[in-house]
Amino acid sequence: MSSVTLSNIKKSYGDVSVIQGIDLAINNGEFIVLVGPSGCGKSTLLRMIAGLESISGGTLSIGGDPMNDVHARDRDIAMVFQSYALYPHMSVRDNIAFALKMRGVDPARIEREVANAAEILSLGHLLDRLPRELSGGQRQRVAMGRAIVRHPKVFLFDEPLSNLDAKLRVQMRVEIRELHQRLQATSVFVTHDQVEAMTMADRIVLLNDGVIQQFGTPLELYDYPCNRFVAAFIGSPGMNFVDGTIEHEEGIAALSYGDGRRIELNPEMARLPAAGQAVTLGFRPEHLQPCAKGQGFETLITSIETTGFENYLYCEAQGVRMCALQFERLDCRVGDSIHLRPAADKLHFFDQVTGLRLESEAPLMRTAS
Amino acid sequence: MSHTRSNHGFYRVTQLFVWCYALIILFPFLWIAMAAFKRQIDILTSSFFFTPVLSNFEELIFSKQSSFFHDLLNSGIIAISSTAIVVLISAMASFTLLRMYVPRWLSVGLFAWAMLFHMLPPITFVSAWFTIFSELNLINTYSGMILAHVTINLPMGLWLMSNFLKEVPRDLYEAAAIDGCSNAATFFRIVLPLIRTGMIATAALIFIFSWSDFTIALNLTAKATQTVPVSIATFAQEFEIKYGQMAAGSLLSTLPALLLIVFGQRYIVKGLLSGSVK
Repeated sequence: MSSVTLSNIKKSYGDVSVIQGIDLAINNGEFIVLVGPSGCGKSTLLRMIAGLESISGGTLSIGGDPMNDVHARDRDIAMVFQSYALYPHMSVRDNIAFALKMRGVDPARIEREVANAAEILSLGHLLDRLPRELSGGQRQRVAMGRAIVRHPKVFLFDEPLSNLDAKLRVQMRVEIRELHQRLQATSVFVTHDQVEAMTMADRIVLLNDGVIQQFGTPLELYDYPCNRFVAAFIGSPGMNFVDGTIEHEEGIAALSYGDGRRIELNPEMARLPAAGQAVTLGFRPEHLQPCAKGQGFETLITSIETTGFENYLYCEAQGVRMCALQFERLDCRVGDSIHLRPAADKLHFFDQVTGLRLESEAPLMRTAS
Repeated sequence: MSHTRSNHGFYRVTQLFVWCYALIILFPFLWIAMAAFKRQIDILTSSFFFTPVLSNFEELIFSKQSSFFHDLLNSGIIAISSTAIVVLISAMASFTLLRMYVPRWLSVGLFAWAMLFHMLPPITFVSAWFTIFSELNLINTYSGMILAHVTINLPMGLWLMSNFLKEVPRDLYEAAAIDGCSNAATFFRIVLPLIRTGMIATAALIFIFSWSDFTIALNLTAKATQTVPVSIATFAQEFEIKYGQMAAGSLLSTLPALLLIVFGQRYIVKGLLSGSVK
């Protein structure tokens, strides 16, 4: 295993720039998830690390060695593809052993490595089957087996779970994570699913339009999103946003929104945005709780989703749509009016124009009207 | 209900067309097959009822003047060799043009040229080849005939193989590269086994084209390397046309191609339909 360093990495196709100067340092043994919406450049970035795409600018190093001009076969990396890319004419055994054979490894060692990988991935009874005789989950495991026998410097995963059904995806998520804990191999995992990113990553790289929006631990991104895009992308359902203007009157700070309604903010809170500033107030669904009339937002329930364990109330207040997560079953129906109040210590402020976070710490809110 | 009835009517009409088409194709073949077992007089009088005889085959096979078996061997050597070369070159060329980093203008240009070349009738090239081959002492040699057949059939092979090659997912090439394969190893270890079906289909078609060529063989061969189509034509002599022996020769010459079609049909159909449906 090795560290991976990207210095001002760029990728462009003609005049179209898809990766716009990325700096990233991935530590030895770290599990990094590249996440972002479709077309954000995450797969391109992974393929550049793999050597499957040329690098238009900047330097890529693996284990301290520059890799820009090194062919994919000489980078000592292993990759699990979205389609698994198993060789259809080879048995599971031959698929797993193929890379070792190509490197001229001693047959006895190949046999040991294949047996070891098969044991780790519970593939022992499938070694003589062809890929077409396997289920999606089994194919996924073979693809991983093919990677782990190599003991590569870096593991790359290109959306490997997206072809699996929801239940199997959760299972494979846990298996990949356990495998990483066992092998402690440097891994870069690409996904568009923020739940996968949150549950698997040591650190997340959130990309949009070829630019890193935020790089940090899952909880850093969740609790302190550095801009509105990150706040909206991380979390499911996403964060609620209310656009408004900060007002300071007689020592009381408030957010004015909609047709002049106000939510009062605690004047003791640190670094409150300046009066008159147009901001976006953000709060997560689990931090929005029912409250007495006259406090918080007066909303109308437009939809209710329940999973048995949790209930999502989709509401509307002054044209602003918001979602509240409730773990208790509430006696309410679609069309009912309900007053909801965001937890005072869980508010986020973003600049309405730049979308950047205005507070490094969550401010407090006192009352609402 | 009426919809179903109209579908049924349409089905019957299409059936009728299929049978008419089959008849148009099969009738000449049937006529030749019958003529092969007729005496010359029965052929000339176009009698439908006749007593089958094997004299045409006997004369074709056992007559001292007949070189049919030798010509059959020539046809086999030339068709098999040229087919093998065409399939191998077209598979490697398709791989290079489609999967390696060849400039797009070059690959598009080559495919377009191949198409244009294939559209021209072989007779266009024959006089030029005759002159060139005479200079190079390639007239009436296997090498000359194989070279000519490879040249004329390569464009077709290139187009067919490129379609089969496009069916191989790009991920497999990339997985092979990451697994440590050079381009040659990727082609021989991954691509070749996966396009086997396409190679069989292409080989079957190219073999048939080469086997049935008359124009090139007539001009570039003499007695030593004469192929079956030319051999059959020699039965039409200045003062007598030996219809019976021509028919017997034609019937025998179709056997390898027929066997190949029976064997390769599923590959050909699968190959020609590839990419049209998922």
